[in-house]
Amino acid sequence: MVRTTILGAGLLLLGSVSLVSAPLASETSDTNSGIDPQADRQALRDFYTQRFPDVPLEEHKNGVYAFDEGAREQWLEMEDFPPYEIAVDDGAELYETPFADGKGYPDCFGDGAVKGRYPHYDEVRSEVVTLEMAINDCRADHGEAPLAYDGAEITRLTAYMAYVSRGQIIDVALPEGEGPLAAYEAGKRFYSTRRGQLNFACSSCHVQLAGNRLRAERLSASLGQVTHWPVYRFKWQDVGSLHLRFNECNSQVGAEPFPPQSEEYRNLEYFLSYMSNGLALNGPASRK
Amino acid sequence: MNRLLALILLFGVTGWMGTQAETGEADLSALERGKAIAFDRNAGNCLSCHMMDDGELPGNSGPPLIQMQVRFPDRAVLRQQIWDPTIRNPQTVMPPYGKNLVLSEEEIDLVVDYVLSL
Amino acid sequence: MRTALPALLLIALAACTKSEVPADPAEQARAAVAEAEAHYQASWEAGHAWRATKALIDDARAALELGDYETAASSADRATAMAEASLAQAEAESTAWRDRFPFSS
Ligand code: HEC
Repeated sequence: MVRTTILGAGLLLLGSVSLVSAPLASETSDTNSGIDPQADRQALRDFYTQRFPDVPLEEHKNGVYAFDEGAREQWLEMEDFPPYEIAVDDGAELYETPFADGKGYPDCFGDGAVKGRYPHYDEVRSEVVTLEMAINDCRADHGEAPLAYDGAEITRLTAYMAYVSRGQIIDVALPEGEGPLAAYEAGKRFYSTRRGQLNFACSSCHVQLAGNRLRAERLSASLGQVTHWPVYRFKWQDVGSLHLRFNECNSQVGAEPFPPQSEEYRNLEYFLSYMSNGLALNGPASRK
Repeated sequence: MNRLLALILLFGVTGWMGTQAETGEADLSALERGKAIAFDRNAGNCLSCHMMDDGELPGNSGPPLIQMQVRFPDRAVLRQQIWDPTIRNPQTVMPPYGKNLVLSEEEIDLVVDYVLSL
Repeated sequence: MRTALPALLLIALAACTKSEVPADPAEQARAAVAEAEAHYQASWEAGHAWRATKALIDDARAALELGDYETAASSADRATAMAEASLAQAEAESTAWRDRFPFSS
């Protein structure tokens, strides 16, 4: 108890120190007992700068290939014939196919280059809205049945939309006010909570052990983990969503995963996206 | 190679002998059984983080397991480290094999003896 | 946040059933499985369910079907112990997570 309080006070102190140097100090921390996304983000960036002195933070959008030289070469060769290309083409076709009412996705998303707007906290709905949800909202508005969140169709659509959104800079609005801060804190908590029989938090592998190897596999940094989805993975032999990757990372430590687009995973995506603010979108991507 | 042999022996013997599996397993030395558990990806999976013995493609997230008797003169300390390493270090990433029932108490003893032989 | 209350009630119920100590091995095995399921449900509601617990419960149910009550009971008991460990994890993590991010060393 006492220890937690002291640590908490320490964190607060750390937080306020970095706030002083941050250009956009806000009243956030006053209203919400110590939840300080700006300070968290700065602290995480500082951590990775120290951990990977030779890797510009921006470069973490390429995951382990940011620092694993051997794997990077193979990956660059692979990118000469991008394995996600078919998914992008299929997605373009789906995107242009009209609904039964004669309208279509372009009526909701224009040219489709909207990935940079998601995820965001929607004050009206009081929850985090992701691109996948927005796609199903668009369908519902036009009388279409929702797509399965773990299905092939939605992942092809997001592959196309990610492709045309390349280069947009992640710019999640600073979580302020009760709802956004609670969602942010829930995502941060999920990332830092040990789960599964093997007792790992996301941060155990992607912060604490970032850059190290598990068996032959290097571990990527959390920064940049959201920039490039969906991903074509050779293990999956297909493109898959960020939430499918969350599922796998939960499962591999023996935890029962959560459903795609569950509140847990959306809050997690929101938190990670805020951490990655300033990085460029570069999806879809390929990974082992 | 030893590991392959141990696994073939372990599974071969238990598979063929059916009800006599216990006698079969006893043919393997306790150290070999400990090693098989330590190396098995679905059991100890120690190689995931530790360089040890002749294990192939070890990770580097934990320290190499060498000179273990020097580092752990007290067997009980090593056993506790495997049973629940968060007792010594709350922020460790090593799984608590006993506390979380990843391995049985008997399996932990076999692994402890094997690790002490390194 | 999910509340584990309903599941805890279930556990209490299952515990009552158990304390009657039914002599029939089939009944005993069924009670053990019910207890494991209630514990698993509680761990799930706490956001800390483990796949291994579920797998053991599946094993226990299959053994129950086959009339192998001994296996059913022992798998179920191990599942209950695992679910208890995962609930302990949930409890510990409800505060411990704060010390973990960002890890600074
Ligand atoms: C036991 C270690 C471990 C844990 C715990 C873990 N991961 Fe991973 N994760 C990996 C490995 C290994 C990979 C593949 C290599 C890489 O990209 O880091 C990976 C990859 C990822 C990727 C893809 C990175 C990319 O560049 O495409 C994301 C996103 C991710 N993990 C998120 C998470 C989240 C969220 C959690 C917590 C729910 C988590 N991980 C927990 C080991 C882990």
